[in-house]
Amino acid sequence: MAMLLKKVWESVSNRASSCSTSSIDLVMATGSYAGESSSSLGAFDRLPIDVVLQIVKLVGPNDAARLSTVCKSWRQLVSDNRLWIYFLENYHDTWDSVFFAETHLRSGYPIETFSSPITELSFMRIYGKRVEVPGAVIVDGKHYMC
Amino acid sequence: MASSESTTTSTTTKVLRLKSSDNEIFGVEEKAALQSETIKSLAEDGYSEDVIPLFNVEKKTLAKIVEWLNKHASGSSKEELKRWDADFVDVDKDVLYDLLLASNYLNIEVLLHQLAQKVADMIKGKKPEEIRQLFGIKNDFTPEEEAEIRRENAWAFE
Repeated sequence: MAMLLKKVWESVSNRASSCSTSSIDLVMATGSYAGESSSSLGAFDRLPIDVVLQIVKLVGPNDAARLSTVCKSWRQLVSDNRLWIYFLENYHDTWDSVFFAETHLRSGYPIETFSSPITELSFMRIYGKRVEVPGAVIVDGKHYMC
Repeated sequence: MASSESTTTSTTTKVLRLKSSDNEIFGVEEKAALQSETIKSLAEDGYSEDVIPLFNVEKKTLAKIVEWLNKHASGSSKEELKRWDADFVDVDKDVLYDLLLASNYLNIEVLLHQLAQKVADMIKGKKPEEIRQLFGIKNDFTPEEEAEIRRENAWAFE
């Protein structure tokens, strides 16, 4: 029985630590978390972050981007680069060359100057750019219309 | 754990006993129960003769989960199962969250996916204001911040 309890405890604590790891990842990926602790995902606060991300993946890129305007917590969650890498890879068959090109694009988009001091584009922004210029081939940060 | 008089001697099916956090015991055929990876790993380590305590799942939720496990081990046709699953996830939000938590804890991937899909369908196509209302989320942006974020994501509002 003691062994059983230990086993169950291990599975619970593994789960707990895997959850906390991913929320740390999230904080690191998106920056400022401090001061936003009063913000809330609403009813989703009860769910592990991995489960919420799974839901957002199923929602798709357009609804995910709209979620970022709901509140600060949602914005932070939806900004996760892993989510947008998933959308880039899975939602557009025609965007084959995305990864080759975007790693270069990510260090800055030369055509546009940003007023805020952003040094690196998030994959969410890159996704938005791809939507705006759907017929473009992007090579090393320059885009060419097809 | 002394009540081991029921040695589940049936030759064909073995029954696992799952205990909810509020001490209700559910007998579930092994074949059905092993759809949960968490239960499977406990059973493989030889704990299947004993009661398996599931500390994170209340009886009302475990009853639903057991219902799902049994149905999905019953050999129903694909169409029948699809209809049944649609009814199964058609529950109010609190029940949905409890089921999501339990299926995540019990590691039942198919069920977790079905439930996540249900929540995703609730979100799809809704305006930010409708989502706030639906899930009880407070808008903590200033009007300027909100306008800026909307502008950044204009492509998604078209």
